[in-house]
Amino acid sequence: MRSWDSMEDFEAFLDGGGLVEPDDDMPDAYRQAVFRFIELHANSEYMGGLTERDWIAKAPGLTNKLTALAKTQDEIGHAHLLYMVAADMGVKTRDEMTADLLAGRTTFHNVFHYRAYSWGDQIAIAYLVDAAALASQQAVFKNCSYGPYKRILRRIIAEEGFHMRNGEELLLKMAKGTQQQHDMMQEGLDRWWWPAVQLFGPDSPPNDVLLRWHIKSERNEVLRDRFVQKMVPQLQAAGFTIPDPDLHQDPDTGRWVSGEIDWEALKAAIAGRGPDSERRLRDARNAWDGASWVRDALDEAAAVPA
Amino acid sequence: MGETEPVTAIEPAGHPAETPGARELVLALADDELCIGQNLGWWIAVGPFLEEDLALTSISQDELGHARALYGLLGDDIDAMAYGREPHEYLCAHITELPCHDWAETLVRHFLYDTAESVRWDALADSSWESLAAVARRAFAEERSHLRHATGLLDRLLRTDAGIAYLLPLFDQLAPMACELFDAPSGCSDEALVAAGVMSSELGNQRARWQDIVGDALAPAGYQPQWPVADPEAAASGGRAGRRSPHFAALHAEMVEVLSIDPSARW
Repeated sequence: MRSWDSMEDFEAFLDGGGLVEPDDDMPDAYRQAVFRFIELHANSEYMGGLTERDWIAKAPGLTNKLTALAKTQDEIGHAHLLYMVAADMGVKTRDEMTADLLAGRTTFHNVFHYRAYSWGDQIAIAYLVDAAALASQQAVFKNCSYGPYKRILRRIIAEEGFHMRNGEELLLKMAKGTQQQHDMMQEGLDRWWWPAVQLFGPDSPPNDVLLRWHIKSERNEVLRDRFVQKMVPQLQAAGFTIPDPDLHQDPDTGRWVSGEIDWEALKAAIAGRGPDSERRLRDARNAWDGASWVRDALDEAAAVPA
Repeated sequence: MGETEPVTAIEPAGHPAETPGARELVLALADDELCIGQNLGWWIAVGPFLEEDLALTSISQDELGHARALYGLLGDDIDAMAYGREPHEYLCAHITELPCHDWAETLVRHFLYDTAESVRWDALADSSWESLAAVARRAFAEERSHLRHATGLLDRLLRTDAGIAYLLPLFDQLAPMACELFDAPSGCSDEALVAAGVMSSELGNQRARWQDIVGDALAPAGYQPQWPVADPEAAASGGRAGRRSPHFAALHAEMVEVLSIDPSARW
């Protein structure tokens, strides 16, 4: 177990590229901040799985069904890994994290407070949301100071990369498909563009401890801008429009400039007042509460030798 | 997706696949896997705990993979076979069509189905239809992990009062129903299939072997399933004869919802 005499020493260790491990005597403020960040990530992967599952049963054809199942299984697998890493920090147990999530005491990303209304929405999630999530996670991975989180992010990022490429492939199929497919995809993009842009969050505060402690490596606005620069030309080239009437190219720099972002929508979603927040949490609660006898009985069986 | 493709010969004449009933048997097994895989996939993100979500979704993918491999023995357009047929053309056993949105039901069905599968894959592992034997051997290997999952949970839960209260009544209901997994599809003579080396044992023998396995697993809980007497007449009007249970319509409607939006589209 390592310990540091002062926050200055600890921050110097972080600035030098040091990796903090669970049994280190890390400053409590760091432990809490990293824990909350990982818990939010875990909750979001779990709720993302719940958002996507509506369309697995309806996925068109066996290959798409298998891919959709594998993708959502990856998300639940990420939640599983993240909850274990978070639990190892000794702040809350896995059951406590689940209870807090289901009671609305903790949050998950804005995008998973929305509903997927069509197969086009399902593709928009893979294409936009997975790309946005991947960009954020890559930025965390690059300079992440918490060892266990950095190590599982390597795997998560590899898998999210597959999801995004799957999203690209399916989006291009819709782009080249029938008029109905094209319309379905455009509607999906219309519904998911802004939530994906908002996912990056408002501009980072000037003295963001997550940046100072090397959890994040880039400011929210930088990641958000990079996403817009990448996505706009790709979507336009595929024949789709961006649902932002004020979007324009800066004549001097050639960079795409978004219209005003509605941060109230982000705040409302995260506070559990998003369009589908209630159903999402209700589904999760029903599943968790309905199977409490299974968990209790398995605990009971584990306590008694066979 | 095009019109329903007839099940066409892709093997030379005289091949074991040409034995009367061989293709119908493979189609029935593929349809079982398709429905089971579809129903197990429902559990993603809503299982009793995350590890169980992951396990059931893995098994779902395996079963759908088996469906794909089995349809692939019958023709090239796998989606047309999986999703393009009329309900009466499916040959699945009714137990595979049950939604089982209660986890205890899913566990009991999973145990009954995967023990049955292990018996039937074993009976096909040395099939004279070599590509079927290859599918069976691969599936049999995967079945071991499915069975470890099912029996591991069942054994532990049946040591508790709650487990006994939730699970045993479901065996009363589902074990007799699962016997249909060993009914022959209409027009399929299992004696002929055994004679041609497509299967190593008749379906009645497979069923008896499966009932022993199930009985042995439940004996420690002091329970013996009440097995119905095999009834050829009931079989002739059941799932293997193309008669669908009341659950099939909703299951099928979900499977084809997007596909039916535009039959000319490629997804």
